[in-house]
Amino acid sequence: MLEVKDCKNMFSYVSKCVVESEPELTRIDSQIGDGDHGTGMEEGFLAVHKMLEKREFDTINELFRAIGLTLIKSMGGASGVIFGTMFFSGDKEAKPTTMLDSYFLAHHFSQSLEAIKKRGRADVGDKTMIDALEPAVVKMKKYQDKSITETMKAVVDAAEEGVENTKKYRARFGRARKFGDKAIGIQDAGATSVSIIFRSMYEWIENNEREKEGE
Amino acid sequence: MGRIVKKLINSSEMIEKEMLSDFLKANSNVEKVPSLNAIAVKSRERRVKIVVSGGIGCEPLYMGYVGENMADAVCLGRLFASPSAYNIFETSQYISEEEGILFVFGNYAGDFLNHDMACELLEDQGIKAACVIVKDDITSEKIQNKEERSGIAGIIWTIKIAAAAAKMGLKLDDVARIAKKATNQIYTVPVVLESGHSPVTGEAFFHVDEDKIEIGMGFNGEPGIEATNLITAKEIMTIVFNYLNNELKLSEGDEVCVMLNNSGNLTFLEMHIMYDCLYDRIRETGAVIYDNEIGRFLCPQDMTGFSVTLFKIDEELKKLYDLAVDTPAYKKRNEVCNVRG
Repeated sequence: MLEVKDCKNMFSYVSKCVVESEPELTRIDSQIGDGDHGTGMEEGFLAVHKMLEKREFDTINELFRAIGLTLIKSMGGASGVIFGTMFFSGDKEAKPTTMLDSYFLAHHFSQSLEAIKKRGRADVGDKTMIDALEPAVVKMKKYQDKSITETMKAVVDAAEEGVENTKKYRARFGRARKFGDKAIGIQDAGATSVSIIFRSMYEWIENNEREKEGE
Repeated sequence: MGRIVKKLINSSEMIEKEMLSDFLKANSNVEKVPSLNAIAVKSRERRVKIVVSGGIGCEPLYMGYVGENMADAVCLGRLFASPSAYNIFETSQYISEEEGILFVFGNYAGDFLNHDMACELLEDQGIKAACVIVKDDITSEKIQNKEERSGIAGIIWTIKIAAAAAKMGLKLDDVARIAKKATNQIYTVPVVLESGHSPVTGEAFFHVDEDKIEIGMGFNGEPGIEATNLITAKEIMTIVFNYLNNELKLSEGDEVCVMLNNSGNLTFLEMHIMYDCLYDRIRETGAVIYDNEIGRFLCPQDMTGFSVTLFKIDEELKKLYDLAVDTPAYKKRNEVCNVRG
């Protein structure tokens, strides 16, 4: 479990990791996409980083929504809405909580996954970020009673496997769609971003635990 | 590489800003929404507000349709690029009353994504919001996939009916219901003879063979459903009408509004020769023409082509349709009086 303060620090670290991934994301997206996914994510998560430096939060729910809103505001385009939705459109009925645990993750991301599918009119196999997010959510639900470290470890594996799977698919959206069979063998940039977000969450949680044990 | 067409602009970076600034000078009933590329009508009535948003270039959408008993605000994107969900949200927030916001837009993935997001952002602020999605282009998908069809000239009458319902003081749910009912009765077939040209480079957007007419071709050159050789106005209009009537199945006593839209470059002469034939085809079914509009309502720049929109109308819709509108691109008096038939 993470307190609000820890969760905020975790997302500062996540923002830093996404920003640093810009060259990798740009390289992937330039092959069959518009080539702007990397710079879009960089812009969005730079804004998140700044926002987190300035603001304090009472609950985890508030923190997630603020991250989502910042991405929607700063990124523009389809990616801004999709990655914004990932954080903004969680379980609206959920009770405000001051602790981030596996249960919260499962409920939040399963709701936001549904919102993304509806809003983006996309599903697994369309070579989008959903290919990484959906298997991650499946793991979150399965592990919702486990510790957050265990859950996130499984989530990272599932998301990375999802990214690998995008290589098998043709694209149904954007410029990549025109590539038809030529898109096969190339991974999706959006799915890669999802795996970077989850991996950096896990890294921070693991480091945090190690530091606490060391104390 | 085709011919480069002459264009009158100042600089490609400034087209959106200059168009907006001129529009404000030319229309005293609208104001700029502060710090956004958006405009809103000045009058503030307490009712549901109609907000429309989209890229510029497919003219005169959407700016041309802001005004009395049409759209209350327009959020502009760049040339052929949608504005962001957040800008749509901010524009709506600027003019919203507690009665809520209705979005009307054509069925395109990006537009749905942005408006659906904007709805959630509004609801998060306690402002009710709903979407009405226009799917009138019957050539864009087969009837089995009706829900996937795109929206073209039918957007204009959908806005009209929605705005009239809002003006009557109906609640958001009812405005949305009636606008959906209307849009489900609107059918359009587009025809392309020649591509339009980029206002920035003067280059054609796509290519149509010299001796061909494309029925159902999209504005970006998406393939049509039928390419015919150059034929007479009468023949082409008969083909277009048959596509429409296959779905509409007009019969004795039906009433329709007809929009013959010039997609940019056809002449007054050509338009009226075609309307003559369209009128005959409709009257042969026994249906009555309740009203007609002939003119430039949706032009992807200087495209050579047209579209025919038929709107089957009943008593409930007539009351709303009859309401006068006054916008730069579409004006209509209260009573329908100019139609013979």
